[in-house]
Amino acid sequence: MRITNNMLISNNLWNINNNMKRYDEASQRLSTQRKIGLASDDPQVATQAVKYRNYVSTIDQYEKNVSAASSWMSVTEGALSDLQDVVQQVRDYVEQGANGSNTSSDLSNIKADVQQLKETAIQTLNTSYAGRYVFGGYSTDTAPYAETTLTTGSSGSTTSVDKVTFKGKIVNLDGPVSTSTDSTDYTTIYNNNISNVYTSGSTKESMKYNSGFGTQITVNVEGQDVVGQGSDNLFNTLDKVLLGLGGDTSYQTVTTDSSGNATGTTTTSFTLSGLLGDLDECLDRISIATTGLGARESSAELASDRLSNDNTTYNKLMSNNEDVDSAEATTEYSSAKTVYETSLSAAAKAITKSLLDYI
Amino acid sequence: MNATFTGINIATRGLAVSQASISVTTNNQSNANTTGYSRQVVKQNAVGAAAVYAGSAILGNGVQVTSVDQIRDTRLDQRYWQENTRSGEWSSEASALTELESVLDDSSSSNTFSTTFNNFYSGLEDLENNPSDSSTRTSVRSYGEAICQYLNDSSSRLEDMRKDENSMVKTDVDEINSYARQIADLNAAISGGAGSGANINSLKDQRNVLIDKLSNLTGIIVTTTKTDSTTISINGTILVDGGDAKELTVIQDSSNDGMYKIQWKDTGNDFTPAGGELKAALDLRDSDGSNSTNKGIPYYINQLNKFAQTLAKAFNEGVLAGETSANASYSGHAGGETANNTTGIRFFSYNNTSSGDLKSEISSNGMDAAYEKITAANITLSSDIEDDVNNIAAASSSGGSSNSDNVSQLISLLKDSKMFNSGTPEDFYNSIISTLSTDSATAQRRESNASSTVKSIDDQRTSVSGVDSNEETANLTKYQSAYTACAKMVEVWNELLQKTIDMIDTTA
Repeated sequence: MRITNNMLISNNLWNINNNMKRYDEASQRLSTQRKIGLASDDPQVATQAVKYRNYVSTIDQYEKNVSAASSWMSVTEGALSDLQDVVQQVRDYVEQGANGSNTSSDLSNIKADVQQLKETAIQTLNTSYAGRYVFGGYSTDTAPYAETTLTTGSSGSTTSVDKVTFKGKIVNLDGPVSTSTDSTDYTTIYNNNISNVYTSGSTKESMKYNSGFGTQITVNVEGQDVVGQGSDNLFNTLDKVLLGLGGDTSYQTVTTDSSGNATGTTTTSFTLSGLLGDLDECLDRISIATTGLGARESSAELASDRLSNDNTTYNKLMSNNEDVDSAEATTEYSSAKTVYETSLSAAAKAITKSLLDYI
Repeated sequence: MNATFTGINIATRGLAVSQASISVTTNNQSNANTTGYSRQVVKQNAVGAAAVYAGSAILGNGVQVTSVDQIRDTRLDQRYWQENTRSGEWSSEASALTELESVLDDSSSSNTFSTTFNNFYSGLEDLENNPSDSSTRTSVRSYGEAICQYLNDSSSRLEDMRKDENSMVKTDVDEINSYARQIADLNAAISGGAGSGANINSLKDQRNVLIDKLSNLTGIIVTTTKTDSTTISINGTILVDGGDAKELTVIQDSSNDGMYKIQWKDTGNDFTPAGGELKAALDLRDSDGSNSTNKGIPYYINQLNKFAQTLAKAFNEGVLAGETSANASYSGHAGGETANNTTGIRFFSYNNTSSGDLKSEISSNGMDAAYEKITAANITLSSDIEDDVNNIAAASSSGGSSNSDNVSQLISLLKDSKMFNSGTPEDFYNSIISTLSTDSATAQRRESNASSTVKSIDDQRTSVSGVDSNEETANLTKYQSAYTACAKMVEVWNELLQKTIDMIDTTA
């Protein structure tokens, strides 16, 4: 093949240009530390990269969820432990009150303390985390427990009873009232408020946080599971304790017909020491709730460990997939640089000479 | 008997031919860097005998220039034109696809589809964890808007690219017309010149340069006639025939978004390019990839539209790909209850249409027809969501501010591999990217193949036609010494004649 000067020049330029391109790619890889700039550099890597990045960001989100769940549950656990202390103190007072050596002023002091503890119990059950009430099920924006006074009768001869509400519904409407309360009025109060009694729905109001691919953690404990439902719930028991400390030996409750309406009241006698068993039941209920929560907390902790492992793994996979091996990139860079410089110097020598130089 | 001055005549012819050769060499050397210049050589032959000497020996009568020819291999030209067409097509294709990648690509920058989509997903998770907080609702709305804006923005950038390709079509057509006209003019000049015996080599070189350029724009078939005129045809229709050139014209095609359509000006027949830059521009502008042609911008616009439609339909209605509202796997956003205790609110919509309007659209035209109105260019959140974040349906049923069962459902929906025929939203988008990047990588490879083929053919052409200064220098030396030698001959003859003249004694 006949070679002309211009061919020599253009071939040299073509080669220099190719070497420069390789040099540029190598230096780009070295400076960005990434294997690819555009997806077409390596479609396989690019597609995998999106996948891994997705995993990593999903896992990040799960970690956030689990940490929010843990905070929520630890606040709940604190509240349950406080509540347990409160009930335990009530039980101590009841034991003290039941030993028969107390003067009436001692008893009334104890009663005042227990009254205070009842309010503390309500406040504890209204514990909130980041402005959200933890025991309220789905209703997190208003305090779930409140005290209310129900009254009836015309002015001058009104009868009123104090009750506790959960999410606006009365928890202990059928609970004990003092025998001094007018039984007719009490029956009327009962029947007036019968539509406003708390009953737990058929579905639990569980708040679930996603803690992994397809797994969820229930974070909340619902108030009714702590307080209990039915006639032996915490507030019924506390009401009995207060009556007993006030010197009463009996209380009245309504009797209902088959359709649930009150037809009258019955009087039941009780002793303070007999209430200790009821309080133990309340303590048991709180313990059970605490244990259940503890189990979920430890599973959240496991989830968090697993997620942080996953995070490391996927970050590593992501990095393996798209980040360059520095040693390799550096070697490639220096080799590309050498080749480029060599081709420059070779070209400089080759293209400057012609026959004219020797004539 | 030889004529007296034969020797001087022969030497003079030698001088003239050497001089002509030196001129051609000089011309070659001067044009060493002229684009398209083919080196020229002097064809010379011995002039036949003019006289017979002594009856048996024949004396030569010197030398003469018969022609100045250019050295050119037309077979290489033909191959160059073919390969140049391929190179033109793939280099346009490759550069456009690389640009497309920068619009849709996910792997390089931060403002990408995955980031946008992951943010939306995280926003929903936060909403699930805390549905009563209006700030989590607001961030779901913002992230939803970001998805819409991402799609709007990508779609409008693709439309812009499509318009760019369209104006490229017009430019290419104008260039083809201009080259055809110039080639025809040169043909006329060449035919005229050849008739009058003028040197037409440089005109032929110019014509070849123009044909080189034309071949980059579209595939052409070039035939050369005996009179050195050329005929150029594209897809069987003659563009240039001797001194005549036909013209192409563009009209706006209302059936194709007002894009240009190419026609032959005289017949009004549609013009289809056979490869080259023009075909690449048309493919990129029009091809939706349906009939196994190269996938153009409309293909990617369609994919984005399909993405927008499927996402909106699934998220709003809970209806996955291939499902109907009767057998939907999820209840969707419309099936959940808002913080305003309403149901049936659609999250995504188009042009800020309200959820109510979209709903009546669905009931009158059917769900598929209603969602076909959504494109990547017009997808927005419904005006209800834009106006009030409480219209985000987080709850599955009334029952409290912290009920977030519906959000939980929506999150599973976004992770459901049946949402698109090819998987989750990420999978679908990923498949767009992988198609694009594979196509782009292929185009780049083919471009580099084609351009090295063009380069190698061009090398061969240069090898045949190019000027080599070493060679010209050598020739110069050769012709120079020939010239000197002939001059010496004149001197010798002069002496001989002088001697003869001196022999005549004029004084006698």
